[in-house]
Amino acid sequence: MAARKHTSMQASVRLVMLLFFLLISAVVLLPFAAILLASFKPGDELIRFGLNLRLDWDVMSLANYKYLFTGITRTGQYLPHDYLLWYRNSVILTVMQTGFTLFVSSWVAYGLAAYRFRGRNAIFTCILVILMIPFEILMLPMYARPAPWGFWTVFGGSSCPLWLMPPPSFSSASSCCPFLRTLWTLDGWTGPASTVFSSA
Amino acid sequence: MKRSTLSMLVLFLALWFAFSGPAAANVTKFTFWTFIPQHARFFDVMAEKWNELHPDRPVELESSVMPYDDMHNKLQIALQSGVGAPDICDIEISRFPNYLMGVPQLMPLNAYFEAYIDDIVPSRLGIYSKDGNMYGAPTHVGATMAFYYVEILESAGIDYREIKTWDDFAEAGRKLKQVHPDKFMGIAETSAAWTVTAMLAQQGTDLVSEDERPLINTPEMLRAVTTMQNMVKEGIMTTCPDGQPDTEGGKGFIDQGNVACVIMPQWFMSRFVDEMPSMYQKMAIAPMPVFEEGMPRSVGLGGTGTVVTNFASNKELAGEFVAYAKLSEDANRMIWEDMGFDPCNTALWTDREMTHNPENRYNQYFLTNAFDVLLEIKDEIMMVRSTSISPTINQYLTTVMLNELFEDLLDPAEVLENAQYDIENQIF
Amino acid sequence: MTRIRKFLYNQKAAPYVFVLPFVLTFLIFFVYPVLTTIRMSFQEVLPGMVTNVGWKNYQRLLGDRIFRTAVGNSFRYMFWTVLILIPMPLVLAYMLNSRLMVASEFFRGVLFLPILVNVVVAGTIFRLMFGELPGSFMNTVRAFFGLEPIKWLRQKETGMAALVLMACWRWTGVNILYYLAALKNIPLEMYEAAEIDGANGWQRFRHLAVPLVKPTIIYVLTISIYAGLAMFTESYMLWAGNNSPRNIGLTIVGYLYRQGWEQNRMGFASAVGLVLLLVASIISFIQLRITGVFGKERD
Repeated sequence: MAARKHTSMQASVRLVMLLFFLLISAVVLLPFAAILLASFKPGDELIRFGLNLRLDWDVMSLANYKYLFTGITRTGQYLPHDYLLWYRNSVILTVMQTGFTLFVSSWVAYGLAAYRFRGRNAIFTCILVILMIPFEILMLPMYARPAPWGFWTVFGGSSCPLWLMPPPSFSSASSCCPFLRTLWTLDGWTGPASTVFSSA
Repeated sequence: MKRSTLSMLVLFLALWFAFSGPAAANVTKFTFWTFIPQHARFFDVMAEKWNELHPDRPVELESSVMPYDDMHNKLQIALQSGVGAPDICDIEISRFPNYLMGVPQLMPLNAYFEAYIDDIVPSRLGIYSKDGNMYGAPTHVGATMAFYYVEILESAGIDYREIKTWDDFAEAGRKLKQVHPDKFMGIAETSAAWTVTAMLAQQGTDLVSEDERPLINTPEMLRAVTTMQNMVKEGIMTTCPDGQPDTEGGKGFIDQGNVACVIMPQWFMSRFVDEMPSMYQKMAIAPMPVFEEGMPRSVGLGGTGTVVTNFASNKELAGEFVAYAKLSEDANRMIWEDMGFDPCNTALWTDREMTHNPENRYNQYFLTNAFDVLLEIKDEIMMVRSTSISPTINQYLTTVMLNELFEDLLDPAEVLENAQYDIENQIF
Repeated sequence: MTRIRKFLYNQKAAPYVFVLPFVLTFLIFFVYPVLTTIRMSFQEVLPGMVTNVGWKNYQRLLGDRIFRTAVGNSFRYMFWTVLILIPMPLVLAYMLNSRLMVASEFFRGVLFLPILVNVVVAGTIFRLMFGELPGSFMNTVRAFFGLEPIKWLRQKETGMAALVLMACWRWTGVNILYYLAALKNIPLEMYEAAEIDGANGWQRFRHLAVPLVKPTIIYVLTISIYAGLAMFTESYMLWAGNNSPRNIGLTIVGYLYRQGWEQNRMGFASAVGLVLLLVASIISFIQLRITGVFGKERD
């Protein structure tokens, strides 16, 4: 008897939790749904109605995707853009940056975890310090004093290494390399954002 | 590397190569940055003309149109670091002084302008100059005018031609409100300072003094903002989406026929023609209202200076091309015919064949002729100063002060006092 | 060559070899820029002209109302994101970890999706969603509840709400992941033992799970404090630029960006950056001291 009561209560708790998370998931996925729908609609619709979830089948088409890959707008005009160039740059940047970060981080993590040596605490502090310093202020000198190494600070900034938990485990996660968002903001992200509207 | 990753990489590289075409021989390529699509189009037209005139030195433009803030920030960074700067670039007037600070990283164009400057309005050259060096080629005069939505005014029994003063304007607004409670007479800008500056110019003053002090907490400014705020409170004027007419939200707002009068510089005509189709053949142009009759009825606002950066390849050719593309007579005609702007070569304003051409789409769009109005106010077009602190003033006005006045409706005197203090604190 | 090989493979030198890349990177890309920034904060930096101005930049900063607005915004943003994004994901992670949860992997994945969206894109989406037109997404939601549309991004409170909402949307999944990893380390037997001892669900959470997850909480707290104070891109994207009405979206780094790049005052911007550095360091240090991470001898 007690066992059955236990199970039915468990079942109702299960149900409640399921519904709860379904609701949360729906809310979390709403922006994705909105942007997905918007990608099938012309830009003027967005401007007129704002970002919405309306299913206006008559205005929805693949025209935006066509423009993305061929440069031909919905009016048939050829307006070239550099999206694939930006994509290429992003890929290159990510590969090099991830590679560099992994290299530096894994080496220092192993060194700290596997050995006891003089200066170990100092290195720990340095890592902490990097995590605490805003990345943007590192960029100021880079731009004020044109440096031939400007290109390399891209990778330098990403070398913010891993935070080390009590050895031997450490959680790498996304704390390494705050993905140079500001650098990209300055240098070349404008592409994707501006394409959204200029191709309307 | 996993096979899937490798094939993806190959795919992207292939796509990239597919999109970079072959280069032509002997043609000089210039990278050109701007923030207005119409300018990019104009420059393409002028490049073609140049190539016809100078087949031995053809140019090809690689134009990039970027959002306003982004383009200016990118240019700033590029000029400071020396990396990635374009050859030719548009710089808007309210940001232009930023690029003249210290040692300007732009090329002086005096030698190239020389052939043309006799015909150009000198003050429009002065705003893009420093220490006698002219760095920017102006685009237009930018005479401020009133654009009236005739249909809606007539339905309220208002003749726009009779609106001469701001009192008339307010009266008309009240009459309009009675017939159309959901429409407005005008827009009170919060992210631009067009109307406010025009009101200052009418009273013979400016946002900044000759010795580069900000003139914010002045009686003229108080009169201007109080007049506007009262109209906002009465419901005659309103703020618009995105803060000012020359934005996506603003143009959408106007295109839906919500506003009876838009007070903007002349170049706003092209925005009507290109982006506000619903108002076709419904808008008339007239001089803007003033506080008292006799005050000058216009001021040159806005403006884009085209510059050649210090990092340009083939600077000579770039300089010659820019001078031709903006200042020559061909250019000035094109500036009207293609972009619908009031050209700096004011002698052309009396060329009726050009100004009253019935094929011109700007003439076709509007009920009145722009140059009729321009000639009427020709000697009343005031000029505003552009100094090294103008960007700071403009930035403060368009983020803080105008919002406090027209969105939050705070006390004007207090707002102006705070503004004066804050701006002075920002100035070095 | 052999001498180098001998050095590299030497047991005693080994740890130093391993940390060498990091140390080099740290010195070149971190120490040097910070020192340069400190130097620049005492100068006025213009293309072609650099002049020393002593403490002038810092003096300006003291009387600068706009800077105070920026600091206020950054702190409030940090406060709200820490308040919501530390406990809430922990509770959700605990629920997901529960054996009563159905399809927990699926929900974990869904909640994690937002962080994969680049902050630039996310900001653009949210800017459109919080548009001031009556037809915008959030205003439609308000209309559904019978409320008037509001100009979300023009008012201080709603602007901050939009920023915080966006942060919650993006970071909940990540924090859940951290907490889940820690929760999985708690053996089931401990829960059962607690249950036998008479602890109910809430008590098991509060007195068993939370203390055992403490290191993770500290970690998340530390990075959240820093991330909150140094936030820039979210605000930049939400207001399509750095110029929000009445600076409601201006953060410390936003002010740095404005002064350094938009107004071309690199020296002043350096001073702003250093103030942020100081503030963030102090807060992090205090927080780590309180939670006992610093000052403890690591073995």
